[in-house]
Amino acid sequence: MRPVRTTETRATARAPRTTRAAALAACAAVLALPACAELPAVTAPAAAAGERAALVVQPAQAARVAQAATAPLEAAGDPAATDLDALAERVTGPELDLRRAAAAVAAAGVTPPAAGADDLDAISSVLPRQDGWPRWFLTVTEPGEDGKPSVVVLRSPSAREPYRVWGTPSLLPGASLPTTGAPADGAAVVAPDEDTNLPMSPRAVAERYADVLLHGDGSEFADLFTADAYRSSVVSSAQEQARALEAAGGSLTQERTLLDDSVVAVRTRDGGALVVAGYRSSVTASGPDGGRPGTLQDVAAALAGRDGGVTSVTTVLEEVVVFAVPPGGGQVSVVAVQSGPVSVEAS
Amino acid sequence: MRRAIARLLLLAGLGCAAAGALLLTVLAPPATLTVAVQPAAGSVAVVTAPGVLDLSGPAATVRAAAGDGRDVFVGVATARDAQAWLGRAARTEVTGVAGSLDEPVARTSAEGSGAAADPRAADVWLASADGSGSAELVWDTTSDEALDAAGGAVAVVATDGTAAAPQRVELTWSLTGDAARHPAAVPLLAGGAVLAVLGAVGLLLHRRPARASRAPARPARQETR
Repeated sequence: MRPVRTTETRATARAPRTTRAAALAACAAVLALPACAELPAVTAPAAAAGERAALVVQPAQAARVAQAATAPLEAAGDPAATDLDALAERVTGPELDLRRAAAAVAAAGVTPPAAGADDLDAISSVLPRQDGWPRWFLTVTEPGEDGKPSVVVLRSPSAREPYRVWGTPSLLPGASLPTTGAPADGAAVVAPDEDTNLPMSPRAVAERYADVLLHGDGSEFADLFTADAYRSSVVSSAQEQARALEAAGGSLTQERTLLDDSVVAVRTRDGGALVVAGYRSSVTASGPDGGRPGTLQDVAAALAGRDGGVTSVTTVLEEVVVFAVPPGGGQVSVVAVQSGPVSVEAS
Repeated sequence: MRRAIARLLLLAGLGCAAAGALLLTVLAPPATLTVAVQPAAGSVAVVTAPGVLDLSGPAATVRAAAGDGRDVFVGVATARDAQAWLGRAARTEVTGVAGSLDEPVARTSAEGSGAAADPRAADVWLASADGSGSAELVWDTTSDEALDAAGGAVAVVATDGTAAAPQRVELTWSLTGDAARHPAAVPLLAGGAVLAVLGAVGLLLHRRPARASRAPARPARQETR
């Protein structure tokens, strides 16, 4: 029994030492472990190869930008009281020209023609996928008092400049916009000269429609477009004036040019395209040589700054037109238009 | 010998469990991570590199203050849009966080030269905040994957885009995942509990013999007559 007792005694004597060592090790580990916790590392987003271009604006951003850009237009309810300098901060292109003309007409005490959309609250948007600047996107508004939804065209020339309202064409009666990708998906941009799976390129659409507006059914491109109310009204009005002036020995001359860099387009869901284009047209009505001077109508007189003693008058108009181009072949449709006089010169 | 091992297991288990509990409570990493950014001299803006806002947690907070009370702007844009807005302007780029969880330091680099433009005039911002003297913006990073095609989201801090950037810029993240909880805490707690139970069972199975059994009673004297 004695040797056994000796072994137990040694084990009992060693145990406290082992326990103390273990306790010390545990304390050291506890103190050391927090130092092992590591900072999270930065992981840069990896762009997948061949990834689509990014949206020009995110859907929520588009709503906010459109609201900010259209706020000065909403505030300019009375054209006579419009602050044109404030308007220029957020409005540009044909929309600004038309609003300035409306303000000039109103300042002369004449009721101006409707310059643009009367309700600018966006209910949807068309967001192109595009890198770089200039950029653009569209919003579609609720129908206003005129019962017609409008398309608000917003453009930004550079990253350091805001989006400005460039045009607010209203849908023509019975027309509807072609379906594009959902805002979150965006829509692919169609370059002005691209005609992949289209009857013609966006630029050709704009140029050929200008010819149709000038020559009516006599245009070689007349059959490429479906009949629309705007074309009918422009062509018939010009023909009536021309007939009246020619009967009196005078003349009517017209020209229509595309505004610089105004043609933009996106692919629609069916593979076609939604095209936006802007025009400046001038119509010169001249009386017969030596004929009796005439008078101008109220709006033209307000813009010209005179109302009588006129033998020749040149009216400059600006137009924003939205086209629906079908995929493959088929006729192009005009779905929305904004138009109005921006200046009148009389002599 | 077995009793000694059992006692060692019990003690080690209790120690590990205590260590785990401490790491989960008193010694847990901080709940948030905040780094201060010192803009380089001449910088008109401070910008975060792609991925920095997504460092940790569902949101990142950007705070900035200008000592002289100037207007301060804080915006978040896609990386491509922010780059287009900055152009070649002088900026301080925050590329990451170094140091430790207790003393984190912003890793920065100075880039470009010249001025930018008033950031308030631009429409590239996904969200923005501005104020006189200071501004703060909380950016929800949960939807940043949708911005990957545009290089992710980055923050831009400036005054008017031409004057010096705000002198005090702070980035704060909520720590989540491994950064929010020490990775050894739960294993220590669970492992310690198991060891402690094993040790306790060992001690029960190898109980020291009772004193009575080790010193048997002296047998009663037998009387013979």
